[in-house]
Amino acid sequence: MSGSAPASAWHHANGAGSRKPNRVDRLGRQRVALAMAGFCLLFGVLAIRLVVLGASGGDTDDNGRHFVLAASQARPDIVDRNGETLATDIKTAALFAEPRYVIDPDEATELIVSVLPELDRGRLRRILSTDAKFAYIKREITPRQQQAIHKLGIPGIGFRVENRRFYPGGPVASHVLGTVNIDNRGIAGMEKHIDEAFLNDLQAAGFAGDHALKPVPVSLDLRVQHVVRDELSKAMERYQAIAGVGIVLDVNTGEVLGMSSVPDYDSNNRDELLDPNRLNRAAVGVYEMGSTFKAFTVAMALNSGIAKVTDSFDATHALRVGGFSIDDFHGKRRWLTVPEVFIYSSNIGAARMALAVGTEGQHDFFEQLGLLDTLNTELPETGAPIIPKMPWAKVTTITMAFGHGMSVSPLQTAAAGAALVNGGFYVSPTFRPRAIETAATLARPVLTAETSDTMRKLFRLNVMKGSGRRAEVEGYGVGGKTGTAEKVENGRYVSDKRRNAFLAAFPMDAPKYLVLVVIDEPKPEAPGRGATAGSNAAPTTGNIIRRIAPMLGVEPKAVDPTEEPALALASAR
Amino acid sequence: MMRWLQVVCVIAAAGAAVFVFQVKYRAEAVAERATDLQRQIDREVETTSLLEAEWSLLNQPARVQEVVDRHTELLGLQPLDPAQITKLENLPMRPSGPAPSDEAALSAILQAETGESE
Repeated sequence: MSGSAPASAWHHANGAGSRKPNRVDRLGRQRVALAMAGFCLLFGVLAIRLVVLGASGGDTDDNGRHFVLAASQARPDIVDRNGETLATDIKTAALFAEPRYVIDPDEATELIVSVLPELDRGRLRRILSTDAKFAYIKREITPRQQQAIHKLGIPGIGFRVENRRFYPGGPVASHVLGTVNIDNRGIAGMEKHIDEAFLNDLQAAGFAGDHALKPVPVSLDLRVQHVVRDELSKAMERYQAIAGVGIVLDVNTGEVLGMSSVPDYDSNNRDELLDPNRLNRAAVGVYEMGSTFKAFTVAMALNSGIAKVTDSFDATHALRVGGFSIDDFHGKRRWLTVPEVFIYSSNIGAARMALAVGTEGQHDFFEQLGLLDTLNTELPETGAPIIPKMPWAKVTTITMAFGHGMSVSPLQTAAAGAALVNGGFYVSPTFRPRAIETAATLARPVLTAETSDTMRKLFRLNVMKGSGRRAEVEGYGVGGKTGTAEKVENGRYVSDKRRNAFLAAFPMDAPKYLVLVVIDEPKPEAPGRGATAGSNAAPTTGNIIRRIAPMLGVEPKAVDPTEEPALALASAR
Repeated sequence: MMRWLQVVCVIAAAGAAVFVFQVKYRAEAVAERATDLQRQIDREVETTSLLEAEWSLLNQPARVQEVVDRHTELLGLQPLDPAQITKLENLPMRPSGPAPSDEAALSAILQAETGESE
């Protein structure tokens, strides 16, 4: 074995290498070392790669789950100002087919129809017989139906998890919330606003995951919203009215705490949305608001300095202008002071005030109060006011002074009314929560603080002594103005069909909230009794205030601080 | 010496292979568990949101009002009147009775008075 067969270096290395190292042996060692270094390098790289992967977290998540959950778009919950849920997503199953994988369309059809008998057999068979990749069979099926179909084990049939919008309150805030279509896209109200404001963009960018969306708060207070709707429904029944509108507004921030228009629709039942009788009369409908406008006229006259609160206006006889005769409903036939014009709701007095201010002044003032332009809120639905073209005729100025000849939405009227009592600032109404600081930057001064103070007293006086007596709620210092407008039918005013309004705010020493109630075509409560605003809209407003004031933390006062100043104003000469 | 090195290398290689496979299977198991947990979380979140919806359904003012109306008579309920709301400082002080130490003396006087009048 020793050196006799020098066949290979390997032989040398093994046999004689240990005893007598030669050149070939050294070479072998070098090769082995080289190979070891090479492997070390290789494994080193692998190890480093492993550490890098470990540190970066790795993509172990399965992607299929995301596909299923993203089948129908997720929407953020909508909550009220106190965090109560108004709208939320719940998961439902949608039944779909992959027709190219359906083996026996006839059998599959029979099996599916046995669970979902409402499906059209012929149509379903046609769908399943095609070579399509994907087709919905029925969406929004119940868990029980899903279970039953799952048990049938039909190949080529599957379920997709979809988001379905659910409104726990049903119709309670439908005109504000709006509703969605079957693809969970907003088609009305705040839902549509959310889509347009950010959700569509988020989804396009792929950021609208299932639980990634924060709830969207709205300015509504669910409790107030319920009270408004409840009292309106009761009023509609009691006075056999055809419709009703109620709005509660924070006069300082412009937040809408409650807005209801009955009859309304159930947000869960989107078919009702199309019924024209269920339209949003509060924001979309525009109406002649009647005598509530006298509050604006009086404020205008006082603010312009043309009339002082102690001035009197001639209401001894009807006012004749351009072939029209303007008369009072219950004429006093004497000179009336400004407070008297207000509480007796004198058409003649209001007309004379508007004439004294002039058409230009009236136009500017109404414009300042936002009564001439379409109101912009978050809601996509909004009604454009109907205003005569400028220049207004003298008679137009006169009729507008008591709320005829121009039509505005109730929400617009409420926002303008808030400016009369909040110290003289117009703040555009909003359906999103708004801080008082934000409101202050948006506010537009319309009246002097002094005029606003006088208006508060006039409103209060009207509830104490005038037409708004039945809106009184002991302790809350309610003030308000009635408006009874005859409705136009076939181009003529008809005296037995009225649209009654009551514009109120409380507490009048420092108003916090405004309540506007409009009742459409109320009948007398009992035969022989009146059906003017004072006998239906005013008590409804009072009922609303009685219930919401404790919720809103307005403190009832045992001694009313608003009473004395209001009475002093009435007796001022 | 070379032979020993070889043996050690083979053993190390085998050991490494066993270790790597173990890690691989463990990683798979962990991934599966993570997916499972994720699925469970999703399910729990779903359940939570469903329960929240039900909670708000049951707490709807309209429903609460109906329940209250149904039990008004039984519970003797009535709407809140503004006159019933007041502040603590507006309440009159509770009239304070005589201190216990005075009570004996007072009753003695009272007894003496009534005794005399008889």
